[in-house]
Amino acid sequence: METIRIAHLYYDLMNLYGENGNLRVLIHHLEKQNLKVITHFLTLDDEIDFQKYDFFYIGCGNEESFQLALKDLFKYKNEIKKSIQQNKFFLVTGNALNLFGKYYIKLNGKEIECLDILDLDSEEIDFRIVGEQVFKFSSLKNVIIGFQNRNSVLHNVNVPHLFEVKNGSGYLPKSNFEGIHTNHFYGTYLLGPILPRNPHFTEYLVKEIMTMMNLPYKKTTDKFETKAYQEYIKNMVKE
Amino acid sequence: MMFQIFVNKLISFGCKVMHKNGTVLPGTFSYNIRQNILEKIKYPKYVIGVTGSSGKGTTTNLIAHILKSNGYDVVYNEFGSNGIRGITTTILNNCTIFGRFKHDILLLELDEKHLHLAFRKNKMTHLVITNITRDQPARNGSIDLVYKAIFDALDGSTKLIINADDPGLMKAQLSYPGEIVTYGIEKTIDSYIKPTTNNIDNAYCPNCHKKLHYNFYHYGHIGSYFCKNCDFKRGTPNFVGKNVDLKKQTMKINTILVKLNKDILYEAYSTIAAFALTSTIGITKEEIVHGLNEDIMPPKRGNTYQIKNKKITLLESKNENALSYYQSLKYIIDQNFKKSVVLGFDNVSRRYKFNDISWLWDVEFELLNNSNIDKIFCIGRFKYDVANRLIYANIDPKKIVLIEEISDILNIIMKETKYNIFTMVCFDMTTILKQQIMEAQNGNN
Repeated sequence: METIRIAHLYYDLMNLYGENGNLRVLIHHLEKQNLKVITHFLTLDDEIDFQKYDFFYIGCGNEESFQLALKDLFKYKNEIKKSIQQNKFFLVTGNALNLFGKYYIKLNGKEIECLDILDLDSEEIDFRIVGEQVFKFSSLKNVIIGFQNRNSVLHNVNVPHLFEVKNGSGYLPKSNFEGIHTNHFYGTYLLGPILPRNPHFTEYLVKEIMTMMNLPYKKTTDKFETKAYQEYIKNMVKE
Repeated sequence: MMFQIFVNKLISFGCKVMHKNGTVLPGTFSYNIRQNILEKIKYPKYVIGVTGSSGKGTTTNLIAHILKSNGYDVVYNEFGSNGIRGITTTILNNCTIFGRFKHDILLLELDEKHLHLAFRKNKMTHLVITNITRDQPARNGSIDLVYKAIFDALDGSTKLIINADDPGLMKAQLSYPGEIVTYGIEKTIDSYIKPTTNNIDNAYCPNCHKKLHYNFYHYGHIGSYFCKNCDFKRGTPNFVGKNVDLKKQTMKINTILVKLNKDILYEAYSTIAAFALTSTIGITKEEIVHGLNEDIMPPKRGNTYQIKNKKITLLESKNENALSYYQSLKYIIDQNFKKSVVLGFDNVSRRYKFNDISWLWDVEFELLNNSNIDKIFCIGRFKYDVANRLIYANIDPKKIVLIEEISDILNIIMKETKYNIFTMVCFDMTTILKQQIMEAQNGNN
């Protein structure tokens, strides 16, 4: 049996909005592919060996958690860069995306140096962008649904986007693009349970993982995920 | 000012005559005419606020009851309108036309985000803060923003009465310039040593940012914690609740045995908060005991109904507050008989249109993985999301029943389960269920 190793980074700091759901669903679907899934929950003061893992997840946190995670991540800056280049998987949700840019500019104008792995800047804003979102992902026919609740925007983005905005907010409230997609780095301002709510996106990720591992993908079914998605589209999304 | 107070009273009177809920509308007019109206009021010696993510209504009612049962002259927003407009209504209706508050004690249940609007210039004499937990994130953002909203409204002149079991509140001791009184509850038979989820807020010491350690947890991040690296700890609160016995509905506060109105932990928290506050403002132990143990607060009208051989209990669905939701589930599980549960909602919130269902993944639905649970019915627009979450809580899919047809829901449930029923659904669906229960009861007679 092949093994995949997942690291949930800063699980006890960057976990504002039910984001544990993403890992639960991912693990479940990988196990259905007959993979052995090993998941490690890692945080401050742990020694993180990025070479040991195939998939990294990091969720969103409040201002203080963000700063603590950022400070800790600096130790691994080159490791992370290398891992992205090696095509390892990164799923990054909510304001965790800001960690990977060049600078995070605070409301008071203070520039906080970030990991400088992605060519973009983030900026704190004095209002919150809150609402349901509908996006298009170029590799999928079905739209992506989710929620945003954030107080930052992206500027100077020189990396490919992940989603096209159909209804909701992108880098800036009125931008057409949202999220970052480079190699297997998937970063988005969507927060909370993205994978539980988007079975097609989960399937896409699992397929990509299987391809990377040179293993055949088996089509599987789920009990309620697809139904929940369809209900939401039927009730809430105006085509 | 005279005009506003007059208008406020007039509209309140109008609402009364027309049998309308007049707890918000009058204040809306008065507040909209001039927003600083509350600054002009001559307040009484005691202005007490009660705020927090959960338990503020119960705590306020209990404080009011203790005071009233001992003959104190207290006015409070008893219908729970805790926003700035509801507060304005309560205050202005109890003033003379010249703006002097007519009673000895003003007691207010306060929305965390409205504190600063109600007390811009004048400050409360006392503020009880029950806890700060994940709650309505679409409106509140995260818990640190709620903390900030509360403390931005304070200047140190207000004496705080806080729940020491919440490290996110105890951090006030590091920076709040005023006096702080603390209360907390010792280990109970339900306490646990290892956290059951990874979604613990305030996992790190607010002082030195090292991971907090716990002697025990009550639920979520509420418990007895300490930092190994610095002095930050829960320690021994000023008011300690011991020997909590939910079956007997009793607890000891310091050395005094008190009765609990309900067999659920949050009642113990409300009781000790009310005890701490009333003690702090000089109410004697005898008077408090009289209010808690002798002149017992009449219980709220029950929400349990009997149809044929089944009892149906209607509980409120605590959407968007994972820890309150958890406690309701715990209450259901703790009832020592076999039962079925109905879960669901059409809209996440009654306050806003956003449907953020992230919180479903913060609720420990794993509790329902229990042999005393017969069926779990999922209803409403998000029934598949709820059912999906249950699957990931390892609940046997055979136990999960999805109901499409709300108009016949009671009949379906009655047919599908032999056992007593607990419902935890949104307000609108509770109303529909109540109607169906009434019809069924009338049909039986």
